[in-house]
Amino acid sequence: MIKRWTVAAQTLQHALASGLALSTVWVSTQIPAAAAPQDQDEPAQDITVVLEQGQQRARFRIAVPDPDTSAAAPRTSVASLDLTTVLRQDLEASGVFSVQGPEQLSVLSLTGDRLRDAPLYQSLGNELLLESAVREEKGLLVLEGRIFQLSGGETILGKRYRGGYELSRRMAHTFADEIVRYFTGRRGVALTAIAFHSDRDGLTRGGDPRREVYLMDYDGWNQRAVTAHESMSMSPAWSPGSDAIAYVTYVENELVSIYSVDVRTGAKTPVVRSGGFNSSPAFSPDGRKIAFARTVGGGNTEIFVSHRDGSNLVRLTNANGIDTNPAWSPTGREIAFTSGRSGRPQIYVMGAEGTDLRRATFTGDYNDGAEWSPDGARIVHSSRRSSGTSFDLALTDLTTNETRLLTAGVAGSHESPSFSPDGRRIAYQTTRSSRTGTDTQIYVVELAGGGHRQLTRQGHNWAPDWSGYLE
Amino acid sequence: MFRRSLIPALIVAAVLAAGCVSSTDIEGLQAQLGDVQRQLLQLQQQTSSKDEVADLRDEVSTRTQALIKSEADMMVGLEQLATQIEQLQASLGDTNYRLTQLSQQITATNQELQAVRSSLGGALANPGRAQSPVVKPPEDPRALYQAAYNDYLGGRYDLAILGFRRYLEAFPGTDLSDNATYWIGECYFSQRKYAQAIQEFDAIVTNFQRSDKKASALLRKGFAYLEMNQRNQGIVQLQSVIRQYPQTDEADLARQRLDSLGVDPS
Repeated sequence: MIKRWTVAAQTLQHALASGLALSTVWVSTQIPAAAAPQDQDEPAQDITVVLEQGQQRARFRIAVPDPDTSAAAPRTSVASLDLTTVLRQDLEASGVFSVQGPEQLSVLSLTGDRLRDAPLYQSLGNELLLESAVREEKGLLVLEGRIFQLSGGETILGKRYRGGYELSRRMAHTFADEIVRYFTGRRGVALTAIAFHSDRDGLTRGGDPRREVYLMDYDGWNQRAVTAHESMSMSPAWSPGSDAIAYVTYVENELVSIYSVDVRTGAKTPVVRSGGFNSSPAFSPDGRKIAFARTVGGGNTEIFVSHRDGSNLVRLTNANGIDTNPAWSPTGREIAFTSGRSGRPQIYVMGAEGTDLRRATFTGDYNDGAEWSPDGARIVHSSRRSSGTSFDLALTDLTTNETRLLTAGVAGSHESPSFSPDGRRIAYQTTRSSRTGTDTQIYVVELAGGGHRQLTRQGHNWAPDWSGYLE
Repeated sequence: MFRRSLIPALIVAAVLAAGCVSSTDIEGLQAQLGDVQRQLLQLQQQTSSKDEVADLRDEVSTRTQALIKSEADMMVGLEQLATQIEQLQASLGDTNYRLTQLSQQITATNQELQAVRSSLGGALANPGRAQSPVVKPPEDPRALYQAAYNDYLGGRYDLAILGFRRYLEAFPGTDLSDNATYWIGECYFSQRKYAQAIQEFDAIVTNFQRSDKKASALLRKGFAYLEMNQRNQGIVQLQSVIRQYPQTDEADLARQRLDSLGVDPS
């Protein structure tokens, strides 16, 4: 993390100090047609920020005024203001930038002439200026955005995007990801999604609590169901190509099976439908296999692996204690899982073919639900507090086996963490905003800064799983 | 880490103990049951009163129930024993982990001690230059090993191999030497360099007699042969895992793989 920040800082220093105008990158991008946004949930507007361990690092300070819309048609004007708002939210949420928008900038008497305005922007502490222009061309929305370095006036990044009006959010996300990539060397995650399951649809026809698998954009927008079994469908897990989601479902009577849904077409395919009770599926990083837990009788649960179509079933663990919640390492060579073999649930790591078992967590007497960091060096998991039944999020370094809590002192129970593909933040389920202690919602926490952001509000929501990059 | 040596002994002891207690019970019950059945037969042959036969039938039923219950109790007892053994095994693993940490610390301390000694020796030999002893900072074995393992986890296999080799050269004969060798094998396996992987897995079996990685290494060797399409070699290795380490998870995995190949595990 520190290294990446150093690189970013050097990039900016280079751009700011060398006096060498970096060549403007003009890339014209046609936004690919994606599924039109459907019933939009209300956006997560109020942001809860709790500072925890981990230093707040200096962010790049960037002014993002509204574009000039005086000459634009009304619908273009509305779209351009929306787009700029999304861009600001993305940049702020990236953890890389501290953004000043129209509210903060309203104290300045701006002239519209960039050279004359630069000292004004700087007077509020800004280092950078993002100017955007949005107009309509042949019925399509065109976004041109440029980032200027205020001290020298050079353009350090310029981009141009074009797409239908319904894709304006996507355009903003794409531009934000490019900006983050330019400053950090690593692409942003504005074009990723989070899968989860929710009871917001009420009850099943049989009167049992109904749960369906849902998807949302990384910022909580565009929440939509991907299953409609009218049963209990839970524990979604993305395929590495982010084209499919595996999940557990009670849709078949007398059998808890694992299904896979094609995210684009919505087609659902049974993957594992033998063995009675199957749970917690996880795709291997090459997308060819699925690991999952199966109860083999007498409450004994073991880890199995099969090919993606459910064939070639192999049992990897063989212990009297419960073995569950498998998670593949990014290289696909290891599987982390929870095991009760020591008498208390702890996280273990084994080779992907079941060999060479070793214990990973030594702090706390109840650790569960491991997910790997994208660099493979750490796992994030939940760890039960010594007093009571609530859980904290914890990070365990797999080379030193040291564990550090991410939510120490934050009220509520925090579980089921999942890393963003850039490794900078974690989605998790929590009762932190609940008065009764049972209202579970999905939040995102930034690892370096510690800001927590609520993404879901409707019904109860569980088990977030962050996608890879969506192309 | 040498946890395996103790486990088979524990299991044997446990099974023997369970066997002794219950077999007397069951033999007694079975003998009694036999007697009752004989009496029943005799009675039926003598065509005695139906009441007597009914009484005997009840008795048979009662004793059969007792026998079933006794067997169930024994099964529960065995299961508890198995769980206890598993927990012992797990805590032995933890102890080994802590021991390994300690051993790493000792290696590091020894390194520092040696460095201090040599600089002191130099100072004594040249009292005039005692103010500026040139002490080369010793490499920390833990940091070296962890960096290499980190590279392995991150998929940087060439770097990991270099790191583990440097560890083996700088700190030969530590508790983690077998692990370092094993990871070099795994790195080659991940790179699909199966012949080199086999060499490393062989090195564990021959160089580290008491290593707890031997069963894993032998199994991985078998898998490597199968990846190279050397089916017969692979099968032989898997069978030897089952023969040499019958009570291990590795033996179970070998059995499953042989099964999927359509080969008799024995």
